[in-house]
Amino acid sequence: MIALETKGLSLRKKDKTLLDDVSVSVTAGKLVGLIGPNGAGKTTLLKTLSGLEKDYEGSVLFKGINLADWKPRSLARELAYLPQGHEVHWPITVAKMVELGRLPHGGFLRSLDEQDKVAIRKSISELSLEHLADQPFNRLSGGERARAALARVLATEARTILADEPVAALDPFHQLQVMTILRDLARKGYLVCTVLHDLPLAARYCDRLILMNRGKIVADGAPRNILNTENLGRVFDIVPFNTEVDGDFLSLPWSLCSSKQA
Amino acid sequence: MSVLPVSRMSERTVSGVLSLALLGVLAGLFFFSLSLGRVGGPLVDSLPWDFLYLDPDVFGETNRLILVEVRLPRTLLAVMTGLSLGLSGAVLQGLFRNPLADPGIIGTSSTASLGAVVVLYFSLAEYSNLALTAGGVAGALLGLVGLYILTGKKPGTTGFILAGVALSSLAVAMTSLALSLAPSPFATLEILFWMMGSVADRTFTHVWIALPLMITGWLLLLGAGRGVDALCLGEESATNLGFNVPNIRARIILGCALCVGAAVSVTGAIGFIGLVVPHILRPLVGFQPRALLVPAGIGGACLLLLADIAVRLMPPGPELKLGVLTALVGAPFFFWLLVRYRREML
Repeated sequence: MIALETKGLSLRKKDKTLLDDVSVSVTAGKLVGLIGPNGAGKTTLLKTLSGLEKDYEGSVLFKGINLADWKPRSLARELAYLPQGHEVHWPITVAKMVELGRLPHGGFLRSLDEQDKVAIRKSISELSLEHLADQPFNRLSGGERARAALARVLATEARTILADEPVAALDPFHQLQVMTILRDLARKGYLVCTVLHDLPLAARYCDRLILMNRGKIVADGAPRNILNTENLGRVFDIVPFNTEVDGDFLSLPWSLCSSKQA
Repeated sequence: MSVLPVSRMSERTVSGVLSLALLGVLAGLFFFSLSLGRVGGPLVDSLPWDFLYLDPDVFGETNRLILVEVRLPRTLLAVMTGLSLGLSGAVLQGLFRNPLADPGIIGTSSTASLGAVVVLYFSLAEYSNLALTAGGVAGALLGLVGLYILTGKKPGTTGFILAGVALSSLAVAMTSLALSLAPSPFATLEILFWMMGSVADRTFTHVWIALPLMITGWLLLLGAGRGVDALCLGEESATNLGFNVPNIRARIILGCALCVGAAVSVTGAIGFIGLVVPHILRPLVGFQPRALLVPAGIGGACLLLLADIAVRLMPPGPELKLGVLTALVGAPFFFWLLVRYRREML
């Protein structure tokens, strides 16, 4: 089974500790949510797991092999990172942008083969982007951009997907659509780990939540064990409203802690 | 499922067709350039068949000399320089993800000029023809490294232009210093004329000095094609797609330094080719950075050769310098671009 595992992972930049002795193991099959306040180190952890941050202490193992020992091209075929912000610098079309996800598979002079084309078509239709495929990426709305960016990640056919706030800027329909896709991928045996700020979505869709604060993991487990009054009060300074809807756990940020309200 | 663009003519195919078309134009311009000149009258009558044999009986020894010793090096240098500038512009725009990147605007031509002027000033060119070229390449390299340091990892358009202005100003000031301290007025004048940029009165020595450097540069730049495609998505995503971004950057900077440095050291500063050509061709290849590279190179060669032909077609009198012509046409184009990007810059 695909697994990403860190042991004693620490990352410091300019005397600032971004990650502090993080030991965690993420496996395929479950949708894993990374939650925590702004500046907790969620994005830094995701980038380190993707191999984008290199000056860390401790170890990161991907499929049992040290992340630093992976050849960049092989790693790119296995692990895809979806950054925040979705920058695309030229007005290339959505189809072209999704096609860039095939770069790890191509050679210097090789053009797209049938497998590439199938992967591109599949990821475009998975996110219902067919009608936008010919549009320049930079003319899309924020939500459409987020979906196109996710389609680009799916086109790599990597079995490990690390997504940084994939539902930010999406309307409710597309939030549910993207979360469903991520959960289905996880159920299909993908390793999917995503940073989320939306606690109700995290509660509803994730199988496991990792709660971070100040570079440390402070709680880790099933949503109903993590999103409790004690944890959220300590980390976010908020009081949640937790309930069950048809047997599913629902958690809403409800009020500020009494100390802050005064 | 509906037909998606992936099944249509790919940007690669478009790029190939466009390159072939531009090659056709270039071939036409090449022969026209060879047939064009003041001395000895136009050679159009004997072109393009007889000259291929270079039979002195048919062609005349004087005509042969004019063709081989004067017009051929001039034409070849225009093609080589245009190709270098067009390709450098397209690759630099991909690397910096900025449509205003051009060896002239970002100061590389000025720093290359300075490098060559330093060589002229210390009379090092007397020792070896290669010294001038080495000075140009070193200047271009320093300029590009300086630009990268000044603009940082996420260069915005404004910061980018400012860095280019700063580098150009410094290079121009140092060049002026060298000029004002030059030992003789004749040397000053020679440097000045050289700096205006021209492919006139060059010999095959210039071609042989520049060509190996330029070919190395072209190969380095063309090899970065997949990298500039990945950089569409930013440096982090490019890294995640398996690309070594610092390595790509180093190759591009070295490739441009070789191309632009060699070009400037044999022809002087010729600006705006690297700005204008990629800008015109980019929409035709669907804005894909890699698909733009080859057409931009050939297009640059066409435009520079066309400009050199225009210079020679002008009424008799002192010949207008090629660099002056490209600046006169290119600068208004740059203004127009700036107005278009104004909203983004503010």
